[in-house]
Amino acid sequence: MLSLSRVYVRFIFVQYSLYIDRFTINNFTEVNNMENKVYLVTGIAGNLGSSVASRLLADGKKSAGSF
Amino acid sequence: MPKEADIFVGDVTDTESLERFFSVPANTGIVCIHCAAIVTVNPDYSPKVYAVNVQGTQNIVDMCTAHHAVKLVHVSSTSAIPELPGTSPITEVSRYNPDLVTGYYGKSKALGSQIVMDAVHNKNLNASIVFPTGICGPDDYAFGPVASFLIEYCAGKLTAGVAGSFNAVDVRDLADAIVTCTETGRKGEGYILGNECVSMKQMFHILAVQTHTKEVTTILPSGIGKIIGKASDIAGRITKKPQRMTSFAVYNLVRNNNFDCTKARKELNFKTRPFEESISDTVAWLEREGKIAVSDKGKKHE
Repeated sequence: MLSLSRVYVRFIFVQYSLYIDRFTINNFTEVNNMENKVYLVTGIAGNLGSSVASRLLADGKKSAGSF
Repeated sequence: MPKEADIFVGDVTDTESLERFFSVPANTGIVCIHCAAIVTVNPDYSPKVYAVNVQGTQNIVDMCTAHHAVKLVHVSSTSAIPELPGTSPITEVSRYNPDLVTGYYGKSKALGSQIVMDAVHNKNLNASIVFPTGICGPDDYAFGPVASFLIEYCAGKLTAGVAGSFNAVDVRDLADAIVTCTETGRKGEGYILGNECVSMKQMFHILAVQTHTKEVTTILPSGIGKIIGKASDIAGRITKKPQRMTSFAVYNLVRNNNFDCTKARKELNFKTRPFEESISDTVAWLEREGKIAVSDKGKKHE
């Protein structure tokens, strides 16, 4: 199912810096001692991108408990 | 907006803005979720669609490679996967060939998906691809096909449908699966994210129940729909104005929409809520936004 939407022509990115406790991240070993992950989400002007962003923020709240 | 979140305005076709987007503090693992795309039912080649969906994806892949991203989840589309005959379940494929799919949007998504897969194999990029079907659900401020369909239906503008089916998944379920994919999605693997097929007749019935309107019962044969689609294509080329019922839009209705999500259910814990719930929530949201008016007897009693 496709839409013709000029809204998607605008490209707005959101850069999430979710400083999640390392022990909450399942694949932390791949990060090799990196303390933080940054989630870069493109296309938050669209419904999907904004929903992903909302979901990440909700996860960040649960995991970090700081915002 | 929490202090941990930044909004960055940029352009996937502008590598300079992407460099700034990907500039993160040292000792930080980048997880990129690439949702940006132009979605169109115009079946013809478009330089803008190519620039964003193909070159933009190449730019994101290049950035992820250069900045040693921990993970890339690329949002493609089931339009990038070749159709199978009849109602044979369509499953994931390992290569994406634009010549095997219909409509320029599908071709652009096939090209973008192959760019990601090439980077997995040639540059050791840890990437997974998700392939959503149609997207539905509330808060669609782009007013995509399902929202537009609902608005037109409630305005009484839809007096007939085309024999075919919808396969649309709730955006909230998609978001859950995509975020899970950043953690459990396997490198170089694709995941179809779809829903149950709903026929046009079922769709009209659901809408009639949800909005307490008279059910539309006229369903045109697919052949008539295809003629309307071709006529819309011609009208679009002459008037240079976007058309809704293009040949590609009709194709998406009458094609085999039976997508198999078994892999995503197993590996991404992908779950879908009932389609009726998505429509109900979308109707409620459109009403709050003042886009539709549902009669009092159609409202839910709380």
